[in-house]
Amino acid sequence: MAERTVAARTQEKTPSSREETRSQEQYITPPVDIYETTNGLVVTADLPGVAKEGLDLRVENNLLTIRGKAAHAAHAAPGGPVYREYGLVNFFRQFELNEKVDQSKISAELKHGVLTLNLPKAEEAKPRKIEVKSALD
Amino acid sequence: MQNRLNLAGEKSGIPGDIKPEAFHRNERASGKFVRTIDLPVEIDETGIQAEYKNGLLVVTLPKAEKAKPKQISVKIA
Repeated sequence: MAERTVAARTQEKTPSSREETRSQEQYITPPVDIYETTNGLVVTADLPGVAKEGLDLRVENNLLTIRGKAAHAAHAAPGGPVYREYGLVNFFRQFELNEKVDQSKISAELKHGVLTLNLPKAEEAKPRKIEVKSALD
Repeated sequence: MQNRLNLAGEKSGIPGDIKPEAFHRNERASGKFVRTIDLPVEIDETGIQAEYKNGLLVVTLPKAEKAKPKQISVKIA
């Protein structure tokens, strides 16, 4: 997959809502693993603190968008922190999909804050073996 | 081990049967981790609670009775 991380400001078609939302809240880029299997691509992303309800996954114009909002009740507890080196952050990342991915069959699973996305290859893009006929004169 | 919190765990990686050349991105860390945190006050060990949800561990450590602040009433002579 010729995917790459796309900064939101390069999205000329939808410049309005995304930019406004991002300026109000803090977003970071989650680390991902992307690997290829014979059936397609697997994308794994670390999204600690993001529940299923806070996760927004979209595919539009061959652009896969992962947006996660992290939340935990302990962070809203009264009193200031005694010590803090980890803060809850929101996540945002985009990938360009090529046409070889069957976008209607993308599936996602979120477990222990780890998102696993399965992007199956379109049938015509799957590897196939070509039989070689020997021409006998 | 007084007033000290130990955490240890392991973050599993990608299944080993994936060849290195199949990776487009490999950014996530994996492996074992350990962390020790010295606590500033005495803890009521019977009341410790831990919750692991959505990849976040939250350990609640209630203060021991004798570590809690006490009010001293002042008598006026």
